[in-house]
Amino acid sequence: MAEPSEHIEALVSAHYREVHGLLWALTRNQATADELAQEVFIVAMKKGAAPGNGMRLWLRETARRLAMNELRRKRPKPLEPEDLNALPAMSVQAGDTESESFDDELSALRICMAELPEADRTLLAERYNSGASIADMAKRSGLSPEYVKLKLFRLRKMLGERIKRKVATSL
Amino acid sequence: MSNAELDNLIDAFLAGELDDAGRQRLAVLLESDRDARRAFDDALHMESLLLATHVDEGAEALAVERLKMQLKRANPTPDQAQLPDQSERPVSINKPLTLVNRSQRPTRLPRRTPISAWTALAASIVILFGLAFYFIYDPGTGGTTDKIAAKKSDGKKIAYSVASGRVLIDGKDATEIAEDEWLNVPASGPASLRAKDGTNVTLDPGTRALLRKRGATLMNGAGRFGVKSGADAFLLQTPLGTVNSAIGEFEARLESANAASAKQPSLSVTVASGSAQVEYKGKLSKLDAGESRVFCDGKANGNEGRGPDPSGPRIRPPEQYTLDIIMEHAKELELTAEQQAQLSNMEQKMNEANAKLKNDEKMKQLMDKQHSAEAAHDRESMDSVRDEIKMRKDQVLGPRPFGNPMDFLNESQRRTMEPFLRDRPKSPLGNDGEPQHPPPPPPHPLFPLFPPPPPGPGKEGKPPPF
Repeated sequence: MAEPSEHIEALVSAHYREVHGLLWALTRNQATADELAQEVFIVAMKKGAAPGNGMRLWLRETARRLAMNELRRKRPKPLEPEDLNALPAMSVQAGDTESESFDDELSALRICMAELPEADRTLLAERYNSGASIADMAKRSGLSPEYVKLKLFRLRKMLGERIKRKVATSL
Repeated sequence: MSNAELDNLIDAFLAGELDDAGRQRLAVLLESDRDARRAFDDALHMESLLLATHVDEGAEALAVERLKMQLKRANPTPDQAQLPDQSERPVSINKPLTLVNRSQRPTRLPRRTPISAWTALAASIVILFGLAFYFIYDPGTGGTTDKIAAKKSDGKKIAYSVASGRVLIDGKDATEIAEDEWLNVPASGPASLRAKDGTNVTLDPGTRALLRKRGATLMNGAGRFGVKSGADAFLLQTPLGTVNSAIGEFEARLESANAASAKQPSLSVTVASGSAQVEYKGKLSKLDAGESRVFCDGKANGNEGRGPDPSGPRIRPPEQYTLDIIMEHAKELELTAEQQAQLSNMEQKMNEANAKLKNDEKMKQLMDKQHSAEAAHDRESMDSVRDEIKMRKDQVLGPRPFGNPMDFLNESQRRTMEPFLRDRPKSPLGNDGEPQHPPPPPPHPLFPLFPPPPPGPGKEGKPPPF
């Protein structure tokens, strides 16, 4: 029988990327996301979490709650035991929507991004790799901030659609 | 709620640029609209995917390994650990984690109660209520909506006050205008409105518009906008295009199609001072002080004089929205010359039909009736007027007089169109020929489901429920 520490290691390996990405998206701060991701897995460990159905959903929910806690208070706040108890149960019946994994979607996204024109890839890299602000991106490219926002919005929409199609066809 | 409004709010949230008013509005949408919650969730998921794709993989692997080590240290095996029972202590990232020694007191395992997809859905809604709560709760002040200085008697936040002229809301004279409230300027004369930031808006007689803190929607007629500098640009939305200006004064005028003079619907923009950017059919044009341009049928003509807008609603059948989107994305769709000719022919027919509908007296009355019902949020009347409009349209034009522009596209082009169609603005006649209702008025931001505000930052206390 696997030790709890092995369980948590398996969970970190399988879900860290998604949990961290979600926290980063919510808090807009990588360092905060790093810290909160650690806390998510600490909570998981405290709850005796083990890999299995429903864990992805549970980890995402826990991450969101911690992020909201952080955003409301602008500082990390300990989670009270009753908050831990209030988290939903970790087991979800077979058949819940976990057919596609975050990594599948990530692979699909990488393929879709490779198909994009160079200019679009550069724009995305500036935003998500360098963390440039819209204003900086607009200044560098000579475009208006509104247009940069619109362009990013359209790229996200388009990529989202393409990922769904790719993942659906690969299942 | 329009898709565009929700998209803008989500976009601003993801960019970390959502102001107080935006947070409030997003909170209202998230708590009142399941589709909005889904859209927010999707956007968040996409953002996390993009961030994860661009992350340094080496650094990520290192972080994972480090975390595993920390967790391993924090979760010793029974023979390693000699720790006191601290199972009731809160978990914090500020303190090294110490878990109960399993030999003394086993960590409680989670309940293995199977939960259904419905429970999962409910859970995610609860999370989003938590999100909504964050948006409403102002972390800076530790308060809730008490920051709002001025409210109307119905609790709505005042965005503009009427400086001169008359403005009608729900058919009644108003002196204070809340955000997102549709207003009509009667034919008796223009109306001037002033926002708290000093922005001035003057609307022509017969204009129908909606004002926001740093923006407005102009449905018909014309307005002059004297924009004071602010954190965000002032964004004017119209059915034909958008105008944004950080500072300056500009005029926007919408003109309806006119079959008699073969005139196309147009948006004319004149900049008196400062500058403005106009987005028309996906293209951006910058206008500086003294410049004027008319945006019409894919062309932008400079310095053309325009008369006042003949008031009256413009009736665009749903097929026209689809056609507009196809034409807008003609390049991406790689339309053939034959397809373009077929679609142009269809567009011509639509313009003629629009003019026919617009000149129809009965239809004018019905559209007025619909606006009144919308303004009064009278769902029953809206249902009834909707049926009348559809019947009248069929009487004047015959059912489905143009066919569907999508029929001219091949399978691959249709697939390319899918996302564009989902984002399209709603036609007053609906996407399938059915007129659509405006969304019901949003609930008050302090939705009863929300708990009382938590203690302000710095005070210790139980965190508010998620």
